[in-house]
Amino acid sequence: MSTFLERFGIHARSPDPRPLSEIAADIDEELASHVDASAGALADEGLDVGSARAEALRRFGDYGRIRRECARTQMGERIVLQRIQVVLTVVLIAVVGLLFLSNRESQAHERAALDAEKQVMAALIARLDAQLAADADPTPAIDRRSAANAKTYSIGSGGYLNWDGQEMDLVSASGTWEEYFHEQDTSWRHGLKVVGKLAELPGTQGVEILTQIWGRLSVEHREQIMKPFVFDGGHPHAIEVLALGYGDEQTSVKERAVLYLYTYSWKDLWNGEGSGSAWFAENRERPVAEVLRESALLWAREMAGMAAQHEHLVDDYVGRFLEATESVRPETFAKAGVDLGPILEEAGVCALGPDRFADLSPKNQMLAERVLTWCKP
Amino acid sequence: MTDRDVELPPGALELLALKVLTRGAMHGYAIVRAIQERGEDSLRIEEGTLYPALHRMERRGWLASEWGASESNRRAKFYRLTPAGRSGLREQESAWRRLSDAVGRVLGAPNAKRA
Repeated sequence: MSTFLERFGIHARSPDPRPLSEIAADIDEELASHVDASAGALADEGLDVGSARAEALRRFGDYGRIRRECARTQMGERIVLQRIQVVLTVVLIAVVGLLFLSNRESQAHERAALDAEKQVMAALIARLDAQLAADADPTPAIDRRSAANAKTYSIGSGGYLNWDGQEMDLVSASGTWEEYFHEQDTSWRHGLKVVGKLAELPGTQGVEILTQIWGRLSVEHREQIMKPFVFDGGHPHAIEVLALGYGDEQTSVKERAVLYLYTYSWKDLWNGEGSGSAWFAENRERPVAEVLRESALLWAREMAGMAAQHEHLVDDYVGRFLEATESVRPETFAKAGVDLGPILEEAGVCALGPDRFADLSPKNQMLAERVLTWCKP
Repeated sequence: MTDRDVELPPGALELLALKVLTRGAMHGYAIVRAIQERGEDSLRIEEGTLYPALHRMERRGWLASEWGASESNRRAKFYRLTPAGRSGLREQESAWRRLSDAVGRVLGAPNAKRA
């Protein structure tokens, strides 16, 4: 009664360790011994030797098949195990081969990456060496930059200052500023740092240079450029810089321009291209202080007029009106030398107490109260 | 062989060989002779088929073997039962009797239990 595993040549005992030829010889000897014994017994019973052997073989059965069955029983397991071993060896060789190829490819990638890193490191080291050499040079840095720029730009004509104070024509000066911006295109801090210096240039130089290079600067820098002009309300060309930002095709830049513009216009200039263009057409050339004063006064008069006309203020309408003040920066007025309190007082807004806005939503009441705080000196 | 000869069902030869070996170690030819004598020559055995059965049982651990000299002084391979083989014999014997009883009951044979 064979077990399930025996069908596959697997038995309880470990395989016979002897060489296969020895096992086969054993089988042959055992089977031959049986036939000899059988033939001998038949001969003893009276059969002649030849007949006895023939009868013994007949009784034995299919000698070849029986021999094969014995061999399979004795050696089949080893053959199965050898086949498994061969298959596993082939699989192992294939896996090792694949790993080798994969490793070689990976090493090639790593070598390429390493080479690239070496190049970067070499560039950094060269730059560091140059920096160290420059630090050791007693000549001021500003002069060295100018000397370097002199190779590319014409110095000494036009009166436009490059970023280290050297005079040159507008195009050349703009090129040096642009180059300075491009040193770190993705760093908004770098952009803010460069434009902070650019805003300090005398007259219209800063605006003219920005107009020249605006379209070629990175978005990160264009988002920062307006800050030193608009946060310093006294800058005479804040509105012109805001016009550059407002006209920018990048939404994030235009949004910032509109946000900063609330202080100067007291209006929402986002909705409606026409309103913004018309406002800039009217105010772009005017002194900033004058624009600030007029915008605040117009708003305050309208606010006071609404309060006079309506016993109960309508939240929706007044709300949109008050929302325009949410981004107004009163400190800009102070820096521009414009006193916001008297303007609101003159229009009659300061006479409106907080109770007058009681019909409005909490948010709008808060905005109104904020405006009323500007009335105080 | 005659018309009264019985051909052994599968597995029966192993059972008979195990049973014969309870008398002591024997070589293949002696086992065949013992089976045929006990079966009063009515069991038809293709003698050679014993050997694959012996080898299977040896590999299973039921038999152990060693070469020795036969009664006619020929070299022969002797098989003997191992403890596992005795246990296997008991199981096989029990299974055979259950089968025999069941077949006997179906056939309605009055002496089926002695089969």
